[in-house]
Amino acid sequence: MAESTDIKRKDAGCIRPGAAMNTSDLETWFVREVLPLEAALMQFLQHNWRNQSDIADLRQDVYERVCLAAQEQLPDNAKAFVFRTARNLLVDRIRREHVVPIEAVEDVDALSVAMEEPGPERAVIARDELRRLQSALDRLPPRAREAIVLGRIEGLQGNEIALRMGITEGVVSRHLASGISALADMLYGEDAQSRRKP
Amino acid sequence: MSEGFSQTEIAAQAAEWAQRRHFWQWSDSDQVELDAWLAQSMAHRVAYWRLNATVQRTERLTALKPSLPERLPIWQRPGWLITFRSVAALVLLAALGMAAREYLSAPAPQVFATTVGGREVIRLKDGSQIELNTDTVLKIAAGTAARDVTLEKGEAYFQIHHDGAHPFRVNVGTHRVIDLGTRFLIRKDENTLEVSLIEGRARFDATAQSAHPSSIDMKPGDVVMAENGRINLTRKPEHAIVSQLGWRTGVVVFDSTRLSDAAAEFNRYGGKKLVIADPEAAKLKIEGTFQLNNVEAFADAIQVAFGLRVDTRSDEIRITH
Repeated sequence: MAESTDIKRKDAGCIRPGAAMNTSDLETWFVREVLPLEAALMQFLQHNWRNQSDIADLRQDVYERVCLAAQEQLPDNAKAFVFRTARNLLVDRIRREHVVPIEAVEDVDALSVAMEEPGPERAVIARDELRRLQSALDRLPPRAREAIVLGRIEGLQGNEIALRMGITEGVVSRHLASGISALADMLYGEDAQSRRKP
Repeated sequence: MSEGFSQTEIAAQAAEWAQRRHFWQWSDSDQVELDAWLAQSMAHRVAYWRLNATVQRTERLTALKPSLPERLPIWQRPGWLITFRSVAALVLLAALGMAAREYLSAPAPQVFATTVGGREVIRLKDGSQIELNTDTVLKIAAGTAARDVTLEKGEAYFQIHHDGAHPFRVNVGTHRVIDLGTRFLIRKDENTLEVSLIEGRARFDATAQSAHPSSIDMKPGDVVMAENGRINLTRKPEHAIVSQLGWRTGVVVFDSTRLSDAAAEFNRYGGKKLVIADPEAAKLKIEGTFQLNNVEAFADAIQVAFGLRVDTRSDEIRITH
């Protein structure tokens, strides 16, 4: 029910740094340790990469590299590892594309203070989570929001959503897919604190 | 990074999979197909995991279903502004103008739990409301028996909409509280049970498992304490009971409270552990209203008020002479 930090701590004990992981452990680790860093990672990428339309792809490149490495050996500090990977990726890209001077990439050590702060997600309690979910849903395009709410709150299947909304199943799929992507960007990519500011 | 498709294209494919997986009929052959796609590359996997985790986070909205009010709009109900703070998603429902449906399909009881320091409001279909304090577990029986709840541990404040045909029952340990139209507070610690009635009437009953059968008709101001099988009925002035409800707004109210009891109260909510290391200091009495999430401010206050030494460490605050 409520998100329990205690439970998380217990789980964390099961996956030991330094060990190789199976796919389902890797997914668990990724969702618990890496995804909560997304807001900070997006800020880092936006800050250090000129072409903002590349950011989402760069983020996925970082995740891909991080998980490929973690699959072999789990890093003991996920946060440090994610940001080091992000920095290396940008440096590689800059070398390859000759777009911006290397100095433009912020030294990852300079971020260490920000990186030590515990992620806000660790302390999220049910109330805040609901508020975040609601705020994210509110900002979806209306049709995508309607489709997702019908599916998640009313518990309708895709074909029932199509009937209710009076649109084809294909269009429902498109609304749902775009809605899920937008929710992911808001729930993981945005800083929970900064959203509260007007 | 991945052969063939760009990250943008992979993201679109992952979104297509995520919506198919969670919103449509899903068969074994669908799963085989998805597994094959995931096996193709890590880029596929991370893109899908991210969206899958997103849909799973919206489970929390689904979990609210059984406590949805039957009639909307909710803003016409008294007190909605305060009471709906923690079930804000319901406001969304109202905003969308959707009629909430009754869900009788789930046979298992609904379990509501708060973490240490957590708080949650459960709104029932009949207009009743239950607020859970820190470290509390409450079960609500499924379906038509939804007015039968069990407080496993912790503290809960009940505002019950009376229905003579369907009495609201709270099972707690070997006892049971039956409302007769009522507001009451129940706190269950390891060995003690305390029921305080604020308004209306309620009956405090022993269940069959209890060694000491007893039944008490409670009036406002009555406090029943059950400890190691002994049951005591005392009375408290209304303001004393109401001050026990400070946690609903994130405060604790001390009224001539021993420092050791005050520390125990703070420690229920997590944060730095407050240790009164001096037996003389433990007996000092304190008065006032304090923020539950700011044990440091409380320690500062007693340092100033009693001239005690406060030693703040990473995980605890020790109070000595």
